[in-house]
Formats: sequence, C-alpha cells, structure tokens
Amino acid sequence: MNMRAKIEFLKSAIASQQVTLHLQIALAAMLFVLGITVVILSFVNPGLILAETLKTGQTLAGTAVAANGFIPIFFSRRDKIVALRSLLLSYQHQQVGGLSPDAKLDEYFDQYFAKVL
Amino acid sequence: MKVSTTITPGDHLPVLLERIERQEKSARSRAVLYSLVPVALTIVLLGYTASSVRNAQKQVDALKTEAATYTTQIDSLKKNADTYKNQSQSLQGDAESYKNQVTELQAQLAEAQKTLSEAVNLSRAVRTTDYANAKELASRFPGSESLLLDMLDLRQRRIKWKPGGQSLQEGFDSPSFAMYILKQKRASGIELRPGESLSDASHSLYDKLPPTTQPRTGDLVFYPAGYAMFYFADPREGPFVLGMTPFGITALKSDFAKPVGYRQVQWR
Repeated sequence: MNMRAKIEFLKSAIASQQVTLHLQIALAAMLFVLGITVVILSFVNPGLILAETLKTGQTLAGTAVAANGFIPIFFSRRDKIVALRSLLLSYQHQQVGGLSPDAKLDEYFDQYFAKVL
Repeated sequence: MKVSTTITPGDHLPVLLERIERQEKSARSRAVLYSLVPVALTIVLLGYTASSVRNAQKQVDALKTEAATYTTQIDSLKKNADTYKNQSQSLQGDAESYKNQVTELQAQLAEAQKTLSEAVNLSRAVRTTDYANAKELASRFPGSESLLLDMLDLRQRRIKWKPGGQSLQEGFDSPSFAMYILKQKRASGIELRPGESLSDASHSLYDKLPPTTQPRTGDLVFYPAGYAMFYFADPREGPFVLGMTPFGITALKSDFAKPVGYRQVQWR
C-alpha cells in the first residue's frame, strides 16, 4: 500500500477524532461553567434563579451539572489520537528520511485498526 | 465495534476512513446527548420545582389573606365583646340602681300605706267642728273660746301639715303646731332656750309639762303616732281633740287611738 495514502488516511482519521475531542471538551467546559455558575449564584444571589427556599436544591443541581461536564472526558479518545499520531509520525519519518518501508509498522497499522474498528 | 474480516486496513482505506467518520459522528452525537440530557433534566426538574413552589406560594398567600380576614374578624369580635362587656356592666349598674330604687319605692310605698292606713283611721275619727259649734262650745267652756277660735282661724287659713315645719308659711307637724299654739298663747312654762328651734322644743314638750290623769279642756293629749292634740271636753257629744294631722288642723274623737299620756297646760 502506498505510504502517502496511509499518511493521508491517518491525517484524516486524526482530524476527525480531534473534532470529536474538541466537541467533548467544549461540552464539558460548558456544563462545568454552567453548574459552577448555578452553585455560585445560589450563594451570592439565592433568589435570582429559584426562590430562596430552594437554595439547597439549586446548589445540589448546580453541582450535579458541573460533575456531568466531566463524564465525556471518560470517553475521551485522546489515547487513540496519540496512537494514530505516533503511526503518522513514523510513516512521515520513513517518507522524509527515504527509509525502506518497515513491515513491522504496517503490521502495527493493521493491528491497531483491527482492534479499534 | 469490530471490523469485518473482509475489510482490511491496507486494502480499503477510503471505506475505513468512512467508517471512522461515522464512528466519530456517532461519538459526537452521544457526547452532545450525554451533555444535554442532564441539563435538560435539571431544567425540567427545576421548572417543575419552581412551578410547585409558585403554587405553594399562591396557597400560602391565599392562606395569609384568609388568616388576615380571620384576624380582622377576631379583632372586630373582640371589640364587640368589649362593647358588650361594657354594656353589660353598665346594665348591671343600671339594674342595681333600679333594684335600689325599687327597694326605696317599696319602702316609700309601705310608708305611704302605713300613712294611708293611719289617715283612714284618722278619717273615721274626724269630728265636724266649725265656727258655729265653736261658739256653742265656747259658751259651754268659756276658758277655751280663744284657743278654739285661734285654731279654727288657722284651719281656715289652710295651714299645712309639714313634718319638721316651724312656721305658718311652711306648715307644722303635730308637736310643733302644739308648741306654736302654746307659745302664741303664752302658756306658762313654755319658753324656748336661746338657739332652740320650735321643732326641737316640741320634742321635749311631753317631758316639760306636768302629767295628769284627768284632762281638762286645753290640756295636751299625746298619742303613739306622735300626735300632740289639745283636749276639749264636750259632755254632749263626747270629748274630742284638736290639733295638726296629715289632713291639716282637724278635730278627732279623743279615743281615735289609745293616748300615751295627758299633760296639763297652765293657760295665762
């Protein structure tokens, strides 16, 4: 298989995974900021969102929302991106250095995608 | 997700890339879903809670309004109760006053009945005496003419019965009238001490005059009701007494009541 095609393929895969990762981080940040804001407002201005009598409920709800922001992190594909980037760098190193194709590298490539997909 | 064995990474990179894209798209959708579901759930729960709180607040407001109404009613009832209490106390005072008035009126009525009874008894014993039979009496009892005519003259002037009275203008009771006559006719032993009133002197008249068991015309006869009357012996129609009674100056049969005693008068 063409090394250039593999490199392009890896770049596309990494880009796609990075979009997902950025989305996850943005959502996590949004939930975290939203939750923390609700919690802080429950102390600073208790009657602004809910009635003062529901201050405790507002604090708990804000804490729950902020904690939810971390859930997507557990599904992070940062490790996948790191693995793909390693493969990409290896192929680029071969290409730039004019090295002969490494069969071991292709084997890793196949193993990785067989495992992931 | 496992890749099918027919597709190998080396041979089908475009297909593989398409799968990766699909997988990532799905992962993004999941990420959005996992993020929005708790937020939406929280918003729904908060909305429901806020709605419940609003309803509860409305109920509390309604109850507060109701409580305020009841409070107003209670205040009004308290004021009414105070008013009724004051009225009740006032009425109790009035009732007590009326009770006292009734007791007083009953006592006055009893006194009036007693007086009426006495008057009825007196009226039975009234003897007709005028100037004609005064002249006749005077011819029979020359010494008593002046006394009899003077008293008839006073009767003609309608001198009134007045308990405690001391003058012709205000009237006399029986002893003070007797005292007045004795003083006017200057009977012996009848003098007023300095500062002594006619009424005071009349009370001691019984003790001042000498007693007698055989009264003569002009003597004083004392009766239990307090009457002090001048005695006139009339052998034709029976003895009579003349003096002040509640009917005015009246002649009565001497036995209209049992006398307490007779007192001799020394006329000058």
